[in-house]
Amino acid sequence: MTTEHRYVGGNHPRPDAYDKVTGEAQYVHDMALPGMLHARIRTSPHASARIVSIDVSRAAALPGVYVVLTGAELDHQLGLYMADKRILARSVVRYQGDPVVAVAAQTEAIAAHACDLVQVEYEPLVPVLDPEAAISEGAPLVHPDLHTYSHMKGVFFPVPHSNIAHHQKIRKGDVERGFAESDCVFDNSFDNPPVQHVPLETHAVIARALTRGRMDVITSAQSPFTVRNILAHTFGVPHNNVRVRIPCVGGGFGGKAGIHLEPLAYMLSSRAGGRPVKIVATREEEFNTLPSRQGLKTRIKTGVTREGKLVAIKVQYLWDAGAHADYGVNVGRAAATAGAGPYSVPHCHVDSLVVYTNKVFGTAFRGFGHLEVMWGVERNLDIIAHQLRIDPHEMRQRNFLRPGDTTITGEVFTENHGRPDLCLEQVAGAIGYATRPGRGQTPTRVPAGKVRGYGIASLHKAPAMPVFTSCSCVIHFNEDASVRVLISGVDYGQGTYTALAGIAAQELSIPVEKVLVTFDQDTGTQPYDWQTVASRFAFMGGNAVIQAARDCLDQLRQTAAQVLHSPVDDLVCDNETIYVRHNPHQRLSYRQLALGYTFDDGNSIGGPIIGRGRYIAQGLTHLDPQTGQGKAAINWTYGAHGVVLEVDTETGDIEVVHIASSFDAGKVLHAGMCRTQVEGGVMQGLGSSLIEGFKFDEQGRLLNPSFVDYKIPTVKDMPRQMSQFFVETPQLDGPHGARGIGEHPMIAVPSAIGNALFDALGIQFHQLPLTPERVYLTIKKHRTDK
Amino acid sequence: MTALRYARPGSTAAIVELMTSREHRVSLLAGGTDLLAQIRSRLVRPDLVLDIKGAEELHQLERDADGLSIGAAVILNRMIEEHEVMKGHDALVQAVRELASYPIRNRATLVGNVSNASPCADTVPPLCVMGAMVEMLGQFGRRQIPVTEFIVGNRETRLEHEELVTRVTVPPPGHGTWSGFRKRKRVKGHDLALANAALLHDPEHRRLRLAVGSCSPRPALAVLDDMFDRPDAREAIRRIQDGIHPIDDVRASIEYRRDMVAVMVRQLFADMQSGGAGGGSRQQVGGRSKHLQSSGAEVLS
Amino acid sequence: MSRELPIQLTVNGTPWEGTVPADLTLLRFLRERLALTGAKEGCGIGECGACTVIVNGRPINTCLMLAVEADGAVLQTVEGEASDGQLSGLQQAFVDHHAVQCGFCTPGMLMSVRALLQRNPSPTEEEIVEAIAGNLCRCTGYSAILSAIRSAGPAREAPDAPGEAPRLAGSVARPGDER
Repeated sequence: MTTEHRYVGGNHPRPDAYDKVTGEAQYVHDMALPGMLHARIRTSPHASARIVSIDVSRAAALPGVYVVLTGAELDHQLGLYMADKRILARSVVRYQGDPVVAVAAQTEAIAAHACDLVQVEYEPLVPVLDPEAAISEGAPLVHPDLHTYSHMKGVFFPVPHSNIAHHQKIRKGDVERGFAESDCVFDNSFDNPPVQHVPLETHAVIARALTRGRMDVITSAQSPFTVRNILAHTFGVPHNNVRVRIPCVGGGFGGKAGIHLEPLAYMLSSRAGGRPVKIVATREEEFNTLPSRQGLKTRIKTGVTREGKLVAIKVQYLWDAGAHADYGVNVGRAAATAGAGPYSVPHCHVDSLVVYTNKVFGTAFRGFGHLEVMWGVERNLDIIAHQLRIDPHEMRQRNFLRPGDTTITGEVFTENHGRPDLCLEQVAGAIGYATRPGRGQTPTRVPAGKVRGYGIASLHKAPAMPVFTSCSCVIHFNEDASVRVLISGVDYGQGTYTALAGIAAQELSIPVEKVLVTFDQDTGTQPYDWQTVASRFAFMGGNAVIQAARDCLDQLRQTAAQVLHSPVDDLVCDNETIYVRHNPHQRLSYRQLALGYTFDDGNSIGGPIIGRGRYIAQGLTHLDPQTGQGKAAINWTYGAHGVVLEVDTETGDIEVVHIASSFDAGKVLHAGMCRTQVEGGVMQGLGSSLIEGFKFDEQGRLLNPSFVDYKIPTVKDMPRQMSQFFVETPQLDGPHGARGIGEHPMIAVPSAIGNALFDALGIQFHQLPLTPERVYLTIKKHRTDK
Repeated sequence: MTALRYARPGSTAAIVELMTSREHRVSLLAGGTDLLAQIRSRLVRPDLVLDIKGAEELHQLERDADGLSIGAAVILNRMIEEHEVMKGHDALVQAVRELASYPIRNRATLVGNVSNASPCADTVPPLCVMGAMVEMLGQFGRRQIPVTEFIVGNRETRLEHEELVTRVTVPPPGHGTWSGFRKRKRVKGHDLALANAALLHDPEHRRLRLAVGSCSPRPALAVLDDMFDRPDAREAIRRIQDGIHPIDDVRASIEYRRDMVAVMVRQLFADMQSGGAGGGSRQQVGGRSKHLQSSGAEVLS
Repeated sequence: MSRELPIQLTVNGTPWEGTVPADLTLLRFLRERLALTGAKEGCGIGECGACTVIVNGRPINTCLMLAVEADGAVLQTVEGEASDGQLSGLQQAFVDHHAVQCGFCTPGMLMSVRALLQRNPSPTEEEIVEAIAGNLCRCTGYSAILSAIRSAGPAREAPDAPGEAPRLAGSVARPGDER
């Protein structure tokens, strides 16, 4: 075996980078079909209201208008895990921004003007805007018919006649006994506002309704088969009738994981006699109508020994789901399974409630609830460490899960799960945590001027996915012995295709330049994949690619064996050739075999090489509805951050001097892709930490639905230094031992920053974001209180 | 739907003529960074967009014995690039740098910033402390009024319907004049001001002037000449706080605005004391704190 | 319908002549009339920079400029960066440094940088940051973009060559590595 074609762990270029730097890459945003119409929507100004009447006559009469649609004509109810969404609001609106009317016209300007001409009469109702209010007695019900909604049974448990879309329970041990046995018990609460994904490309879709119930949908989305499946179910057509195509996607972060504007675009096209209809969300609609990340209120009660060993944790997670929870229910479920952190906790009680409110709704968001949960868990741990006068690093090392321990869902931790302890050591070392100034002595008074603080935080996350999640892959050989890899996970920037190309090339022993992972997705021609979320694509896709590549090699060997008159087992595949191990001069090139082999006399054997691979989540179980016990996770990725920051006590400004991040990736499949995922995730985490958050007024209207008042980090907001570390504890069932890291870089950034702020100021922060104003006013209050 | 029309007259006189002869809604277009966003959100629905950039005189950025003259079509980046012309007006240059990102500054204009009269306009506090004048041209000729009188409220100016602002002028600074600008933002990248402030110290005319923006519908100007010999930051803060009426809004609270006004004034006084230019400027750039050579005070970002 | 006005301009060295409606932005003109879809509409209000194109040597947010204002202008878009099918050094640097993820911000980012290098072939770190501070990126965290730009300027920092051991900012520990 030569040492050529070793790509796993390497740094080859992203194949999709070329089209993107030349501007050739096509996004839905850029696409047009002949005869295409443009659609605009009109949304609700009220957070909660009854739709009294809608008069579309003036809009419909406007020249250039083809279709005016309202919810009255669309009785479909749909959603991913819970069917609680409408294509357009029907009889009631549930959030300010809820789409009420849609118009398809010759131009966007005509469609927008037509939307203005529609007359809608509302009867405003009292909105419920806070999850605590929403679960209290007598709260208005956002979904009075919740009990009639179809949902994934056995997994999600909506509470009828309430605003609770799902209640996830985890029960391990006896938490009250645990508190009784603890030396100290602490109560803390924490808050996260909703934030938005802010993909640079807003949601966009072109749909074409064809005859006989068929449709062609081109969408900026993360999950072509999910879109296909939900469209097929919603419109009652066979899956073969629905074709979903996905070109380049300008960012997703979970916001494009489910189904959003596709059904509306299809209905508009259907009413427009099959003309294609394109909808592109404006940036304001992206903020105000399209989904966000749920808010979270955490209440956590912790019992510990005097030495800082965790004995019992009882936590309530109250998720502010907004008006719909079709994806949000799974956030509440998944985050609960991680809800005590990467620690051994003998007694644990988690109640994770996904609660409807009359605000823009939440969906999957990078981290899937874990950033919000880690804010609470990791801040809580630091607060307790401080009160016990135990070093926070030491406290975590004492409590990390170790082989033989049981997680809160009853999973036994093994040697191959990963090393949270090592990750933390790496980052603590990188920032000099052990020798930080004033360690162990938090300031008794808030210092003046600019102050440094050091903080650490740990994290963990498993892919949150249904028990039957699967992936498949097909590899075709071309005439020139290059290959096409067909796989329906979407690369919307995270770089998985680059890693998969390396895996395929290495497995097949061909140059990576000869591997084309086809970028455009098409359910009409490509094999099934569940969704591109959850940090499972590299893991499952990698396994499927390996299997498909080996299938190719088997087929090559089968044909070669006949030509070379050799037993199959004696054949070696290496560097685009096959040869007999003990007689290497007896060889054939892949090219000679790629589409079948032709003997000199013309006889042809074999045929086109088509490798198949598939992977299904192994060994997951449903969680017990009362105790949450079961196998929730195919793998866990552990990690940590260390932060050094400088806070200006005069203004509240925070500058991150250094953030060190470490993840047990199992195997760094591609150096550049792993590093840049971490850098990007850390910056997105910084946004959640210091800047981002939706603001609503008392009527539930979103006050910052544009870049004017919803800011995301710019290059000027970068930390002075970012460093990345990886641990490689092999994931036994992962491709080359790899597990996912797509989401993990963002989820404990706020925690580490909050912990560092305490180190600097002696003040505990419980709420995000840590804006200059919040930090300044909190400092001011502490100074005057003393 | 009306058909939008566009015209680009070749002179200021032609602009005025088009403005006065029409019964339709006219919007003046210079950089377009405010107007086009307003048209997009349908806040403004003009029938005619009148592009002023065809009039050569409006592109003039010059300085002579009478002072500095900034034409209505002068883009902000020119004010940063043309050092010789802008020398001695540090607070204004700093404000222009902080006003917007580089590409926006290739279009946005100072006159546009002033005419839009948003309370958070960054160029306004420096212009106030510098005693700037706004020159307007209408069918009855030209007139000039101080910028402090030009802005009468939140997006309200003294400009009449058929007038355009032709330029802003700044009288020549006294010998040895120092000026500084500060701005509070929510992020290190570009943002509108939560509060901004400018201070000017003119030893020749014994002037000490402080202006604060983004805390009232109109800029607040405090004439502190009486304390010229013994500058007292605390007293200056007290006086300016009396003159501002900040509000709670999505960007900041009243308390934070008031407290940051005090912080900025203290910082400006400290910069003034240290002479500004000699100490250089520490600016957060890409998170890496570098010591920049730039004229004037620290710009808070 | 808006009144159509005649304009002439040059885009990537190619002259164009025709009429445009008064209310058509330069961004939509490029995307819809000239099929130059590199520049993107990310916000429509000049905050994200995805629409950045070089007009008469200056990078401009074309969502806030009317096509009619570009009469007589010389435009450079991302489609003009490569020549004869060869990537420019700047484009190659973005590829080599993994400075591209979803790619939506990339054309605008490249134009901001191209304009910078045209006016200042040896920019300082501050000047680079100032030049791209108006280009939002949600994917990369900007670090790889800065590396790419530095290497395209005078610093000539060499990226990791494919196949060489990757130079991670940190290190990779394997269990058993510790003490």
